Parts: sequence; C-alpha cells; structure tokens
Amino acid sequence: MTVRLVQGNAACAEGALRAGCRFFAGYPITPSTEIAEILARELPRVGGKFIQMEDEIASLAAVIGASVGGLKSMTATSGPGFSLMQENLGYASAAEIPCVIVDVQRAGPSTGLPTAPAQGDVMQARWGTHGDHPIIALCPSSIPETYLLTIQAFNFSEQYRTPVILLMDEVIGHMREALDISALPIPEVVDRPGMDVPPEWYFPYDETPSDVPPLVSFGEGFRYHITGLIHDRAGFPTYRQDEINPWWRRFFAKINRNLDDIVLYSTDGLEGAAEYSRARTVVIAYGSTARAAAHAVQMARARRYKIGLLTLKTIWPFDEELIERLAGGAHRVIVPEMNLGQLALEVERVVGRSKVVRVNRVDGELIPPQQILDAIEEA
Amino acid sequence: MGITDTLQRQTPKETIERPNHHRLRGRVRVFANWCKGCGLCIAFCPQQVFTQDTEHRPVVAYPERCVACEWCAIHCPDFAIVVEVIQDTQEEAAR
Amino acid sequence: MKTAQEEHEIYQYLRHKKKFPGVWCAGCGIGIVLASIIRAVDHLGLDKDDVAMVSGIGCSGRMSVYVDFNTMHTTHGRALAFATGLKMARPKMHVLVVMGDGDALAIGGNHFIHTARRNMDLTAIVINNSIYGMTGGQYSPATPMGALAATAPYGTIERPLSPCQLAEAAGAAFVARSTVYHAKELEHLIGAGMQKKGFAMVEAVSYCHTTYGRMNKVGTAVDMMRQLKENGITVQAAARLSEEEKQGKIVRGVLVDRDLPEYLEEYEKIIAAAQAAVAGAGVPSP
Repeated sequence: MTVRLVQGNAACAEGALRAGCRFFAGYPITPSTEIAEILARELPRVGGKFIQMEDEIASLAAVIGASVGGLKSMTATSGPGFSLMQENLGYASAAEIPCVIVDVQRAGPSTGLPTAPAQGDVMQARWGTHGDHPIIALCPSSIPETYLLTIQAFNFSEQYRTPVILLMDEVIGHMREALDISALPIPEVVDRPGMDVPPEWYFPYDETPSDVPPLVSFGEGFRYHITGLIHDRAGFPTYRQDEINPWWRRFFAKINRNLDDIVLYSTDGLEGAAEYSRARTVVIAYGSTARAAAHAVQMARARRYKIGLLTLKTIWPFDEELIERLAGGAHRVIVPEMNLGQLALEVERVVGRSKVVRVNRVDGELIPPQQILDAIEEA
Repeated sequence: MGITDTLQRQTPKETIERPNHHRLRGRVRVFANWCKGCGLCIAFCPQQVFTQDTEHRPVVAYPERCVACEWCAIHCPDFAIVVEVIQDTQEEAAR
Repeated sequence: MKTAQEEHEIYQYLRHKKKFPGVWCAGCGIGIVLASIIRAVDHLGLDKDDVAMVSGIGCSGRMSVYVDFNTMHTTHGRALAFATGLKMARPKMHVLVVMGDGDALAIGGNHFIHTARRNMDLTAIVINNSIYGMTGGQYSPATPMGALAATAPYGTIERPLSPCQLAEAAGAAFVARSTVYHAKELEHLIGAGMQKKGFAMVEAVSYCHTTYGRMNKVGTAVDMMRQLKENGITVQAAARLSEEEKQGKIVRGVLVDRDLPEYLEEYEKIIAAAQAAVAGAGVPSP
C-alpha cells in the first residue's frame, strides 16, 4: 500500500496516463498549468507526445487532430482558455471525435481572480459552444476522485464518441490529499474498437443499434471524411432533411439513452425508501463545495435535522428523473455553489423554484460548512 | 530522317521518352456531364481544337489538330477532359 | 473499351461516391490545384492510406471532401493546428493542408506563423485568390490596396500580406509559388514540398472571377487566367528586373529551400532521452 500526498492537477495527469492518454496539447493558464508541465515530462517517458501550442484554440485543434490520428488526447485550461476552445469543442462534438478537456475553474468573468476557486463555468460547459449539442461534464470533489474521473472521462469519450469536459476548480487542482491508487476501484480502460468490415463498407456516422458508430483512426486503411458541416452517414455535407433529422436523433440519443451509465453520483442519507421519506432537506453539491456540504450535513444531523446529501460527479447531462426521485419529495433543496446559481437553475426547473435555496459565494473564497449549515437551519 | 528530339523526364515512377513532339497527337474526350462550360480549354488550346456548343461547352471540332500538349486536361477544373496520347512516329506519318 | 476512370489514374484519387462536378464556380482555379495535388501524389507513388488532407473553411477548404485520402474539413483558420496533432499522432502520414488566403493569413495567421516556426513536416498549400470568395467577396489580407470588395465599397486602404514572405520570416524550410495557369509547375512544386523534410508552403495563385473579378471589372475566368499567364515570371527572370518592373508580376518558383531541424525528428530525440532516463533510473512507468 503506497499512500502519497498528491496535488489534484497531478492526480489528473496520472489518471490520464493510466487511461492511455498519449497526447497532450495545451497552453499555460493558472490554475491548470501543472497538468501541462507534468505531462510535458511524463508523456515522452511512455512514448507519448506533448506540445505547447500557440494558444488554446490551437491546443484543442491539435488534440482533435491527434485523436483522429489514433491517440487518446487531452488538453487542460481554465475559464479564459475554455472560452477560446468553444468553437473547436463544438467541432469535436458534431464530428464525434473523442477527447478530454480539463477546465480547472477559477473566478471569472474575464481575467477574474486567476488564483481563486469558482464554479462559474458550469453553464458554459453545457452551452458554451453554439448550436444544440449534448455534452458530458464530470466534476471531482477529491483527489482520488480526480484520478478516477479522469480515467472515466477518457472512457466516456471513446464509448460515446464525444468530447468530455472535466470540471475541476482551483482548490481541487492545487490542494494535496492522500492518494493510494492500489486501493481505488479503477475502471477498466475503454479503447477504440476496430472495424472488421471491408473499408468500402465503413460509414463513420452510420446508424447503429448503440447509436454510436465505431470510430476508426486515420491511417488504418479506412479513408473517410470528417467535417463540422452537418453530414450524412458517410461524413459528406448534406442539406437533406431526411439525412439531417435522423442525425439529430442519434446525436442526442447516444447520450440521453445512456444516463444510467453516464450519470455518476453518490448519496448520503437518501438510500432506500424509508430514508428518503425522512429526509426533509436535501443538499445537492459538486466539486470542492461538496466537501463543505458533507461536513455541513454531518453538523446538521448532529442537531437532529432530517437531511440528505446528493453529490454529483456527472454535472452534464443533468438527470431530471434522478433529481426528481431523490429530491422531489424534500421540503427544501439546498444548492451551494461558488457562482451565482448555475446548477441551481436546473434543480429549480425540476423541483420548483420555491423549494430551492441557493447558497452562493463568488468572492474567491470557498463556501465554508457554516454557511451551508446556516442555510439548512433557516430553511 | 531528321533529328529526333528526346525529352527525358524523370519521375520517381517512370521515365517517359517522347520522340519529336511535333509528331505527337492526342485523342480528346470531354465528359459533358462534368463540364461547366467555363471556356478555359477553348480559349487556351494552342491548336484551336475546340469550338463551343450553345452551352459554352467544348466540342472537339478539329481532333486532328491536337498535339497532346494536354493543356486542357491539366487545366480543366472539373476533371471533364482526358487526353489520350497517341504515339505517332515519323514512319506512321510517312505511310 | 476502357472507361476514363480505368484509363486515367487521376480518377482513382477522386471519391467515387461524391457528386461531381465540384461545388466551385465554372472556371475557378481551385479544381486545377486539386488536379495538381493529385498528380503530385501520384508521381510520388504514395499509398492513399498514407496521405491526409486537412482543409480550412472557404472555397479552398471544400477541396478535401472530393479526394480519396484521409480527409478533415476543419474550423476556419485552424487547419494547421489540427494537422499538427494528426501529424504528431501519425508521423509517417503525408499531411497536406489546404487553405485559402483569408483562412491562412487572417484568422489563421497565428497558426501559420507558429506551424512554420516549428518546422513540422507538413505541406501547406495556400490558394490565394486575394478575396473571401465563399462569403461573397469581402477583402482578405491578400487583397491589393485600392481594390473594391464587398466590405471595401470605397476601396481597401490596407496593404496586402504575402504568404511567401510570412512563411519565410516565420522559419519555413521550403517556400514556393506558382499559379493555376502554370499548373504543371505547381504540381512539381507541391511534389517537391511534400518531399522536403520540414514545413513546406506552396502558394498557388488563383483568381475569383465571380466576386473580385466582377467588382473590379477584371473580366471572366479566361481573362483572369490570361493575366496569370502574362504576369507570372520565374525567380531567375525576376532577379534581372528592377522593383518598378516587378510591379504587378507574380514571381514563380522555389523561393526558399533550407535545411533546418524538423520538429518530429527533434521530438523523437526527446522521447529517446526520456525513456533512457527512465530505464536508467529504474523508475516504473505509470
């Protein structure tokens, strides 16, 4: 058993390597730069490649190109860089190219507070790029979870042929915590499947029972076209409604049909019907705020409050049925976040605005457990 | 027999040896369904092999004039022209 | 009797499932550049699986869908960045990057500079028709000063940029220029660029009779093609002319050909050194 004191950004880099990441392209930006620096050192050691590109736009473009070339690829950034990446993120989404984008959130908007934590990019992760599109965004609240969710992010990206966003924050990125990889339930690494049909039968955007057509990398003997234009199953641009509408259906179904697999979360005090009916207050939290929320829930229980905690590890897609089931019957739903209410908008939409109590903080400081406890007691 | 000019062009794939270029001829074929009638081939053919039809597309009106310079095939933006080089030696010409 | 497809190799390089003729206006030079590229690849005897074409946005960018290589039609200005990632993942692949003047020099200017600076083994082909054709004829960084354009109704007041000069200044190993009139020369320059180890940039001077030609009353595609013929001069001929005499001329040929360390070769050394250090120290890999 080897326990190490590991920084969140380092755990992310290690998780990426464990998942089989062999390409990183990025641009320095606080508080994510350690991920780039560590991978600059570690990738060549395992025969992988690192490149510092001229900006974040080029970084994500190179990541997408390398993924098409067959390497599991990742970039890491923060708010301002994440904003720059939105166009190419939409490209990866529409062209269905697997890749992982780490956003170590810092206080925004604009240059904001570069060295302070925030959770202000939640809605941007969902809607930052133009046009309708599904997205997967994961959010760790501890260092071991950072390691695991990074691997999960790569798995989801290959499994569902989609970019996956890993939403960290400056606290998770820079804090150090005990990490014992040997004791973790590490998911099996998902690799790109091959294709066993003759090349002329390969359609990169075919209708398949899983709604995810297998992706074959360039150079494997299957020559095809990738474009950001809306395309038919061969990848050729189209304006035909009878090709466009089925594409939309599959584009969303591949994520929405698999919520059971994609939506990761943990609960405390919400398991089982009896427990559920006794939880008059439900706290829904994510990221570093979830650590304070867990503490606040403990303090509240000590004061005899009937309370449960839902920690979201998958922020997007937002599982309405899950939230309705776990929090719909509560008297109050408390949503603490280091923004002015972003996930709260989704919760309010599902359980009703009158039930939701927002606990917000945007001054660069973490939300302390007491602030959440105060909200619980007032509720 | 006169002097035979030999043009040797070396490419990584093959060596093409052409006899006196005045003796080269070409067979021109136009694919009307790919042709957009841009008129480049008609305007630039050094031998005026083409005339144009009512839709500005080339008609191979004087095929015997073609010397297989292949300007039309090389410059057609739509791959609508092919020129088959017909070797035409001095002996054939003498016949 | 054989069909044209069987007789002429060039058709083997076109995607048989795509609708032809191509999307460009009648007489546009982009199709000529495509033909030159195909002939260059054919002469090099490359396997189609070993060739990739990454294109940008604009009329030039529409080329990639038509050719039977590994093709990517990417976002505006970013083709070189996508190509960088692809090449790093597939170092043995011959990666062609096709862009227009607006795509490469305006929105893509930053990537153009840095990809040239890195000297990665890519072959960039910039089709310069001095306008933004696809969107209706707005001026580009290559539009001559004083010309009329859709967003310059009173004439441009900006001096144009030369892709060749920019590529040379940024550190490209190979810089060349030709025109769509000189299509055979263009083919040879593209082939030479592909064979060059390092970043090769070939500027293919073309024209847009539909927008620029119409707004500036230059004439038809035939007229504009004739201008390329009349104004194109070789590097050797240009050397004998004064600056005044060179005005309006298009200098054709190899402009820069130097041997510089190629990015991927240098990175392989890094990988070798990093792996040797790991082995030497007995550090287990993650």
